[in-house]
Amino acid sequence: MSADDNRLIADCLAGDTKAFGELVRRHQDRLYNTVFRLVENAEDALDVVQESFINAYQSLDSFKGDAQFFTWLYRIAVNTAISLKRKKRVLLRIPDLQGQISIEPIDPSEASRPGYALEQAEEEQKLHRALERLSPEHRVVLVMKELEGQKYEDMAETLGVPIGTIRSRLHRARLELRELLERDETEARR
Amino acid sequence: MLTPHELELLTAHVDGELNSAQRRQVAALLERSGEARTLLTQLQRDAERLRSLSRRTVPIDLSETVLAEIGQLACQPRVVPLRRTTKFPLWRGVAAAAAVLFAVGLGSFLLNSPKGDPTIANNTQASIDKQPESGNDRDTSPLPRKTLEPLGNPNRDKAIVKVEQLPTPRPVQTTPPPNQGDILAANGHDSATKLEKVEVDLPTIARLHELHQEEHASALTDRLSKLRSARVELTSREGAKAFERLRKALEAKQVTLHVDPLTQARLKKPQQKTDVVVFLENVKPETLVELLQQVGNEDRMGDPHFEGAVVVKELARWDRKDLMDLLGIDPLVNRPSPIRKQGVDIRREFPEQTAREVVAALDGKGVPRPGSEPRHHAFVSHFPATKNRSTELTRFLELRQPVKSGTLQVLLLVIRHVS
Repeated sequence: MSADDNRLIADCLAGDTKAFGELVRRHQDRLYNTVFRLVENAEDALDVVQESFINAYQSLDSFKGDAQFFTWLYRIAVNTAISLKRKKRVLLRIPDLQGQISIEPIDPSEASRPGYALEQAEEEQKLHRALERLSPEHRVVLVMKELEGQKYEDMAETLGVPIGTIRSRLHRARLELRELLERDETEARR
Repeated sequence: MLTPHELELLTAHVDGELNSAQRRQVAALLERSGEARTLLTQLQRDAERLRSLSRRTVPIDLSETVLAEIGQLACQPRVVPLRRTTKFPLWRGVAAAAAVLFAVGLGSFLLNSPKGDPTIANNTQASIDKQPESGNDRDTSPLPRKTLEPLGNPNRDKAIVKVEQLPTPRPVQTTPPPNQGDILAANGHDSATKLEKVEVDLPTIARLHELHQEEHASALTDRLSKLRSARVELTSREGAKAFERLRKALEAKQVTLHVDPLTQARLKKPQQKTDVVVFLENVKPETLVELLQQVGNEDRMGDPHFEGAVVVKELARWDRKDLMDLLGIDPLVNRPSPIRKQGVDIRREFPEQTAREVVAALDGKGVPRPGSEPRHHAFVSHFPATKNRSTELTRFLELRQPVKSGTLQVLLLVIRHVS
């Protein structure tokens, strides 16, 4: 995949804009999935992804090729999403769970089970609520770790902070998430 | 109760980022502490829950939109210079810093030295003597001359370190001297804290769905008649659908829309949130009200796309700035000049071309007949707009008409409702 990406980047730098369209098609879903969890809003996620691709295009020649294109793109998107979240921090948002976004179950056989959709929606809502309350800095490390499976080192490089900071942010994020989920479960039992 | 270090070990264990020594520590901790075992299980379950969140996929193929945006921006991958040429070399900065440090050090040495040191006295005096000074600064007392003057003397530093005063920033707006009756001035406030009188232009708010009622329509017409330009703000949850309704009403009013291509692309994708601006000129207040009435009626009768409130006010300074960004010119200042009537020499025959055009116009073809209402032209863009000059914008600017008295320049905005 990386070799193909590099070829497309080279084509793009040579003036073939359509090659960049191919790069967009390759990475849009994966990027969108992560960004969606960061901004918790389908429209904002679309905007962030789109803006990230345009920024990436404009800075394409500064892409060194020593990292994967997606990692580089991901860094742009995460920073864009964090700055958006900071701007919108004061706004109260209702999670867009009934949007036109398709939800793909991890295990297709699970989807056919009666009540699966409802359970999944409830579970998502709980996690949405908890994630929403985390600060952007804490939320991003959790998303990078659990959705992208990134290591401390990669996360530190992407976010431009020391590894120790990543470790402590993730530590606080996990404990905070635990507390929020526990509070939510306690309230649900009442 | 787990210690902070033990908690860190547990979360790092969930992260999968422990070295072998730490793993042994965690194993020992789990063996001896039930609390640790419970917490670790919960943390691992939380992580699993996050990992099992459904995968989201992009609802539309973004490649087309991204490429359209890139095309509109006419951007190319930037060429980043390998080295930035510095106009201010590093050695100069180091030299300047060293000079300042030296001066400060010397000053502090002289200030903190014992008063009776003759060497310092002589040096300092020599420095003082070199400086131009007023007669008041000279020590005329019969006592031995002070080698160092007391702290607080404004002239002290002149002899040692010459401090160049930065030019005072020029005030943006000069304030006239206060009147005698000015309370703030009388109370000793300086010019920096003086309050300015600001005139606030309050907007008019009308209900779109009630504009069919005569009283509301005439009130809005009256308000608009007092303006030279108007910013008309409509709010909607669905920008694209709401604009479609506005578009129909504009076209029914013989307005030709010149829509920015990127905006057209965005409007075709209702999933994308889009704020739309429409700029048009030479609009009579009553025409604008009729237009809003039509939009309101359709919205009221059918599936409502607008929130209902119409906010109207004169174009503000920042609106003009936005318009300049949008159009590349300030449309309030830069207006096409009226066409001057050319003198006609009745002794000369009309050219055949003119005669044909006159005949065609009288037949209602080609050039509009005198008295017929000319078509309006409006430029439509999304907002905030990208700074580019599309052919649609060029066409719109070419078709602009000279200012007509009693008409308005109108900036219509269809803005998403923010909950």
